[in-house]
Formats: sequence, structure tokens, C-alpha cells
Amino acid sequence: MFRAVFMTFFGTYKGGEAVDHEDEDSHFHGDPAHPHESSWVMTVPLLILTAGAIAAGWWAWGKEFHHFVEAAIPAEALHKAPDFSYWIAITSSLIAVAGIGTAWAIYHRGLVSSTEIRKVVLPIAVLLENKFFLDDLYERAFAVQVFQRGWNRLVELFDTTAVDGAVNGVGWVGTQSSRVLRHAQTGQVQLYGAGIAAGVFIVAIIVFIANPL
Amino acid sequence: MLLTVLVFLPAFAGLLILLLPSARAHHARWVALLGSLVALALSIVMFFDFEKGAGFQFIDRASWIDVGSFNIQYFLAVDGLSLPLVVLTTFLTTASVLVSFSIEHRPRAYFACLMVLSTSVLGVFTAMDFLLFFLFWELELFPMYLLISVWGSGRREYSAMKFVLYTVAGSAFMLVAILALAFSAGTFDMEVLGTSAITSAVLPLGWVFLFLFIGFAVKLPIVPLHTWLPDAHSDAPTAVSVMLAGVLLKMGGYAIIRTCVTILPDQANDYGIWLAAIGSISVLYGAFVTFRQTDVKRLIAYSSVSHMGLVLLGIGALGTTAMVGAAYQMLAHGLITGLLFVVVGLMYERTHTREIGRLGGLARQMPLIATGLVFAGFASVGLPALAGFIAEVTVFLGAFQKHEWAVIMAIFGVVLSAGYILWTLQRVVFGPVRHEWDGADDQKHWWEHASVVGLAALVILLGVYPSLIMDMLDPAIGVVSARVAG
Repeated sequence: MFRAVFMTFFGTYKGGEAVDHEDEDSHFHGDPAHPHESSWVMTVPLLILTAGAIAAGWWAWGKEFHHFVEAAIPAEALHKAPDFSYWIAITSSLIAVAGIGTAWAIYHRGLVSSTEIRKVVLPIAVLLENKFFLDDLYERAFAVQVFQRGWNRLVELFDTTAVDGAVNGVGWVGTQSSRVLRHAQTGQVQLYGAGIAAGVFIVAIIVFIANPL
Repeated sequence: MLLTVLVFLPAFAGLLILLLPSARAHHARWVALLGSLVALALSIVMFFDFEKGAGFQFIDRASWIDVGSFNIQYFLAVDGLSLPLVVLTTFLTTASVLVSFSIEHRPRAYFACLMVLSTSVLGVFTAMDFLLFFLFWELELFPMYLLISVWGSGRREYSAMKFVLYTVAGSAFMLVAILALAFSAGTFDMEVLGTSAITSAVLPLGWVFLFLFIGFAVKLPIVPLHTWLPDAHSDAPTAVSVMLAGVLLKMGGYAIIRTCVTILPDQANDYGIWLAAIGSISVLYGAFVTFRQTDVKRLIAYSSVSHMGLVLLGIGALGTTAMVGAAYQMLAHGLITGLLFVVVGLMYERTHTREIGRLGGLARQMPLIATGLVFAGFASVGLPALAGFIAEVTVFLGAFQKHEWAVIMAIFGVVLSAGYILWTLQRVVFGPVRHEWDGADDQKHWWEHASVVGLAALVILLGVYPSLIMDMLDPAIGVVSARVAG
């Protein structure tokens, strides 16, 4: 937190250049060369939130907050709640102060260079800067490769080749078989007569097999 | 009488349109709009006149073909299941007419086809004689074939033919089943069939159930009978995509509840688990393939396969809650996907491309259309307070105890839908501006505003006030689930 505080409000001013307000794509309407204090619409809510933050801290005094919420918590869980411990309070406050001090030393006074520290703990720094690479894992590896280019493409391929292919295949079989079968329609009466004779013969055989005399 | 007037009113408007002299051809759209608005008004009057939980109403019955022992009737009626679908049909017909307002190629024939299409769908939802039902079911093919093959784009003849062949192949199975049922029960009356116990037929009853199911499953559609849908959608004109996704698919879901489940409850019990399994597979399979689509209309078509899988999952659970969810999903999907196709159609009119790779940053050039697409996208994902959320939750609630695994699988389909919809929005609406589309207009004509705003308003209405429809669906579906429970 205090890295942000020291870098924003202390040290030399590094503000940008004036923006071109003609550019329609820019949503920035301020002037970075001359930062100014915000108007009351920002200040008043900030003051209210500050007052609330301080008040919320003091609410724990004398178990006030404890009594406020105890009705909403099951009794057995309430008994397990540890009592206020000065030891924990002082240690945690000290750790916080130490953190502020470190931030002051590095980012305000520049006693130690932050780039030097980064070099020392490079693997950890890279890991943290990339949020443990979880975004990359989800987006690049899972969403794009495995899900979209892998699984979904497979299902789509099945859809267009197997499912739709079967449908168009029925039509294809019809066209192809008619292409072959239409050669039988020659218009020669003798050929048709021979076909009828052959058919009668086959039917006679079937009837004979089914009902032997 | 009222129902007959409602069903044939669009076709009558279509006839008037065809009678217009060619000098007045540009008036076709106004006649179509008037016809569809009157039909819409009539259906809304019926919606509020309907007595909830009192069975079939607005009955129009006459003897039609009386031959031998068969009496084929002209028998129209609506109950709590079909009436909301009737209103959806008249509403989407009006929206379809509005999005077609700028059509210039043979407007008279176009609007006449659209009107006949509306009549045939209304007929399917209201016919209570099985043969009359079949007649309306087949009638729908004729205008659809012409609409896709004449006013479509891309490989339109191929897609139109594929659509017709698929449906006719399914219908062949359906007709065999209808005849088998009629010969065993001695009637085509769906109300009688739906209340009498049919224990045997000329075919094993399992086959009859399966044959009916195949006929309807093609329409729904389910995997693997779905490949006509992306082709038909991508090559159809906008209004036809709206009607196709909005109401034609619902004919399948409606018919499964009305006939398969109601007439053959024992077989429904036997096969329920299979319906749920096929539904879940459709949800996931459709979602995976959706991720690979680069054409916006094909993408919505495949997402429809996924979303209609939820309908089948709900039906497969056979309980009141699950089937009410399925019916609600049909309505929600009809409105949401209708809206998606309207908005994508508006975008296509301006850019002449549906390739996602060529679009991008459209929020800058067409803010209103982009807003419509984002809204419809969120609705499609099932954002709370919009219609899809209620439908999905009801299906999951109703189906979970019966088919845990099917529901768990389907819930992952919802996660996937968030993935492909948001990714599409990001690539089409947001991102760097393409100066290629700088001159493109935004939504500007009143008819464009009317269709988008009307659909969006209903999506919100069904999302925040579900009891408007649920109270109507619940008793009608309760009768069916009580019959299945024995």
C-alpha cells in the first residue's frame, strides 16, 4: 500500500503531457500536466468513508461488535471464538509499521534500489508479476487451446461430417443409385418382358419353398 | 367462432394482399400489418377472457369428413397450454411484418406467404382433431419453402429443400403414428384420445410414441436431427428467422406435451429418462458447436438447439413444475430469439455481413441496435428479471429430483451460453471501431423501433411477472402430469 502512497504523493513529479481533447477515442477529460484537487463529489464520500473506517476499528472496543453479531452466529461457534489478545494486536501492528518503514526506505528515500531487489528475487518477482500465470493457464491454455481449438472443434467436425454428412449422404446415395438404375429403363419391350418372366420365376420359387406341394 | 376467425384472419389478409392491383403492391405491408394487429388484438382479448383452469375453451366444432366409422372433425379449441403460444404467434407475426416493412422484392407474394404461415402455426396450436392438426402442420411447409427459397440469401434453395425434406420425413413417421392411434381408438379427436386409456394398437405403443416423437423432434429440434436449422436460419430473410425460431420450433415442444405425453402417458413414463437425456445432450452439444460459429445467424441457430434442449429436459421430467418450465422456456425463447434475429437482421441490412470477424465496435456507429443486441444477449444468457431466467430456473427446479444428472449437465450449458453470448457481444458490439461502417445508420424507422421495443418489453414483463402466464399453464399442465402419474 505504502509503495503506492510514496510513489504517488511524494518524490518528483512525473506527470504526462497535455491530452488532445479533439481525439474522440479518448475518454480522459483532465489535464495531466496540471493535476488538481478533486471537487466535493469526490471529497465528501472520501471523508465519509474515512470516518467510517476509523469508527469501524473502534467498534471492536469492549466487545461491542462481538455482541452486535453474536445473535447471528451459532452458540457453539461463539464459544470457540478466541478472546482479544494484546500479543497478536501488537505484533500485527508492528509488522504493519515495519512494512510502511520498508516502503519508505525503498520508494521514498531510495536507500535500497527496488530494481536491485527484483534482481535478487527474480523468479518470485516474475511469478508474482504474472499473477502466478493463472490467467495465462486459463485463457491461453484452457479456453483457447483445449476448449475452443480442441474440444469444440472436434464437436463441430462431428456435426458437419458425421451428422450433416449422413443427411447429405442419404441424398447422395439416392442420386448415385438412380444414376446406375436408370440404365435399366431402356424402353425395349423385350427386355421388360424378360424381366417380368424372371420375376414370375423367382416368385414361383419362393411360393414353392414356402408351401411345398 | 372467435377462434376460427383468429386462425383464418391472417390467411384472409394474405388473400386480400394477393388481390391488390400491382400499382398498389406497396400497400401489401399495410394490409399485412392491419391483419396481424387485428389478430393480435383478438388473441389478447381471448387471453384475458380465458377462464384459467377450466379446460378447453373457445371451442369450434363441426363434422368435417364423416366416412364409415371415422368422423374427422373441424375442431379448434385452446387451453392454458396453447393460448399463450397463440398470443406468442400473433405477436411475433406482427413483429415479423414490421421487420419486413422495407421489403421491395415482390412484396405481395412475400406478405401473403407470411400471413399463410401465421395461419398454419395458429392452426397447429388450436387444432384438436389429429388429422386437422396434421393438415396445419404440413400447410406450414408451403409458405416456408417459398419464403426461404425466393427471399432468402446464400444457399437458399438448398436450405429450403433441406427444411422441407427433414420435416416431411418426420411427418411420415407422425402420420403412421396418427393412423395407428386412430385405428385403435376409433377417433381422431385429440381431447378424447387424451382422456381415454389406449392399451393396444396395430403397432406396439412404444413405436407409436417413438414415431410421434421423431416427427416433433425434428421440429424442436434435437441433436442429431438439427442440421436443417442452422442452414434454414442463415439463409432465411429476417422475418422468417423470427417466425422459425419464435414459433415454428415451439410446434415441436407443444406437440410432444399435447400428444406424446398426454395420449400415451405410460410410454411417456417409460421413455421420460431418454427424453431428459437427449435434452441435456442437446443443451451441451448445441452450446459447444455454437462456440465455433462465425456467422451471427448460425450462432443464434445453434444456441437455439441448446436452449430448446431445456424444453425437452423439462418435458422428460413429466412433473407439473418441469413441464410448466418447459412451456415457459418455449415462450421465453420465442421472444428472446425473435429479438436476437430482429436485431441481427437490422445490423445485416446496414453492413451486409454476418461474419463476426468483419464486425466490431458497432456500439459507436449504431448505439440503439447495439443496445438491443446486448439486451437480447443478456436475456438469452438468462439474466434475472428477464424471461429466460424464470424458465430455466423452473425447468431445473422441476426436473432435478427426477433426473439429477441430466439437470447438472444442463446447468453447465447455461454457463457455456454466458461464454458464447458475452464473447459474441464483445466481438460485435465492443472493441475497436471499424471505420468501414462509419456511414451506417442506426435504427431509425418507427417500425424498427416498434418491433425491438415491443419484444424487449415482453421479455421484461415475463421476467418480472411470471404468474401472468404461469397461472394459465399450471392447471393445463397439471392435467397432463396427473395423467402421467396415473
